[in-house]
Amino acid sequence: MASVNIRSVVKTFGETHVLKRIDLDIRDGEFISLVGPSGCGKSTLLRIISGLEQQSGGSILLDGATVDRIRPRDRDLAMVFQSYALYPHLTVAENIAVPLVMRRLNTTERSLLGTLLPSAKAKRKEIAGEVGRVCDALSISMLKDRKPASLSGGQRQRVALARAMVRKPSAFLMDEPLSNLDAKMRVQARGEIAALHRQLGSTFIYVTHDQAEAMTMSDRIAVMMGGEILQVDTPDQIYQMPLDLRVAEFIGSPKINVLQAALTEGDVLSFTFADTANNRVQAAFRPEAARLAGIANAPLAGVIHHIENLGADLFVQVMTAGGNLVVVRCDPGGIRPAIGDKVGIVMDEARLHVFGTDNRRIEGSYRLEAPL
Amino acid sequence: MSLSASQNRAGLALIAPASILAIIFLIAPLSSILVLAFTDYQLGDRSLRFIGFENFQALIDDPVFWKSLSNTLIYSAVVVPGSMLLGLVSALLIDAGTSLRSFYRTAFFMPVMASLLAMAIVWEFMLHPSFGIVNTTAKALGFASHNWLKDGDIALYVLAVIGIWQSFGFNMVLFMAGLSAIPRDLYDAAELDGTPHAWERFRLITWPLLAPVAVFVAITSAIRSFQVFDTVHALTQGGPNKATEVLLYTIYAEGFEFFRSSHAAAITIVFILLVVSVSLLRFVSLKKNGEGA
Repeated sequence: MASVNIRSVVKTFGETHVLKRIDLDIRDGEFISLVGPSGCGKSTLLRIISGLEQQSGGSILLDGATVDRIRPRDRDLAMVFQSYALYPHLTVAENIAVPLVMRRLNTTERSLLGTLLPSAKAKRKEIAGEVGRVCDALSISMLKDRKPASLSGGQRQRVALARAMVRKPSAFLMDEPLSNLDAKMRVQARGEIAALHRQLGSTFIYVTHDQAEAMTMSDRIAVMMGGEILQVDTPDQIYQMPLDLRVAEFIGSPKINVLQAALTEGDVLSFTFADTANNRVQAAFRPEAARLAGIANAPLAGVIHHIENLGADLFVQVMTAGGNLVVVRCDPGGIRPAIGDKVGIVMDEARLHVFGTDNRRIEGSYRLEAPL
Repeated sequence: MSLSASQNRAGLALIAPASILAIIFLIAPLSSILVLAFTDYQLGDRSLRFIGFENFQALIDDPVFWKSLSNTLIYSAVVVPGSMLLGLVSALLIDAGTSLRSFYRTAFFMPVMASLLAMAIVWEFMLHPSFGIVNTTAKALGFASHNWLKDGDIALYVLAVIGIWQSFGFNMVLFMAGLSAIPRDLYDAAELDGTPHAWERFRLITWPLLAPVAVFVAITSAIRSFQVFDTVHALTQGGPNKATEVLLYTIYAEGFEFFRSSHAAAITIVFILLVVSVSLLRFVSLKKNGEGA
């Protein structure tokens, strides 16, 4: 068990600033996701926490103590790699045993002749027992004698997880562990990893580019972009109260609708504004925060461009007069709109987000102005 | 599936160029050697007589042949591990280093590309008993000087050292290719799994994953070391007192100095058997690896 504190961590490669002063406090036992598009620095941050990469500035604290000068092996962390990084020449059981063999046996006991020592035999027996228990817990006992090459992606992922678990580390670092799995396996593995976290109670730091993984598994999400953390919050807060337009756009599928708007006195928002308006903002609303309506009095209007029927939801794409594509979620049980229909769009004013031109959220309770 | 006549003709036409070349350059010379080995032919003779295994019987009774065979095996026993170890160590050092990698790679590979005959002459001067750099250095450091190439006890080993110098660069390049195929992630995983030091990392990852390359390197090194000839011819001519007599040199001397072609052919058969048996070893190891994966 460990808390992880990231204090003003900076990483530069030559002229490139990969991480720009990252501060993040991860609580003991928390499942936190670092999510962001590729190249945002999330994997670099994870490697810095593990010690595999050295930061250019700042500190990493584990349980309150700085570990900047401590080797990765002595930080008591375990990591699951995107490639799984299983030792190809060792069997599954041998792979899982490596962290224990390396830590419990001394150099003599590990050597070829040392295996004959009674102390080595006893330790190896004890290790085999622990490996067996971890294999049982992840239901991979039948794979123990196989080599990684003969395993499926999902099985390899479990072996990698088992190798991380066997040592009972104080925190787990996971670098996109599910990205090599097919879509179906990924959903299943998502549930398994979340369950594992609840069962072990250890700190999990999970790096992913998939917002759905972050949303479904995490206690908290840190959204990273361009080497900065834009927002750290619970999945609900991130989704409902994005503090930055880029967070709002990254989280949620289908993507949030963003339109240029004019903000006039009394928090009145209008989508029909003169181009010269200097009170421009960006208004955003999620597909489920809007509904189709008659054209009369609707703040937005357009022609239905395409309809995506997902069974449970109907996502209607409306091309507005201004040339924006707006997605509106409809109930498939209701009246089915048709492509080419002229429709109005009405948004739930309570669920409108307004961002300034600097992408930061502007707090307020807005009213929409319908065009005359 | 049966092939039509035209398909048959097309197939034969397509393998013809390769087959003809193989027959001219491989199968014909090999079979003529095989035939010669059972005759009494001497270079320039107008006729020949089959004499069965007499040439081989003569080999068994010939101390020079046994000396030559054992010298070849001793030479290989020094050169193969020597050039492998040096190749592996330099590959690991270059791989671990960050600067001047291509410089070291080129520098160590140069002896492989250089003409060995020319290099042998350079070595001859370096090893010269009175003014060679080796002896002058040894003397300056207070060691005894030697007549390196004329001392029967050490001449073969001196040639082996030259052999190692000449060939380890090639092994280094093969090992480097093998090293670059090992995923970096494995070393990261090993660090987090708690491998305490570089030697343990080497034992856990590098050596097992390099094993197929090592087998290949061992076998090619062995075959190339059996073929040692240039340095022997240039530096010692098999002397002193047959101390550096090796198979290929014996074949050359028998065939082209004493013109006993049939005798040389018999030694060649032995040489070929030696090379083939090592190649078979590789075949077996490949098969074993194939099953293991």
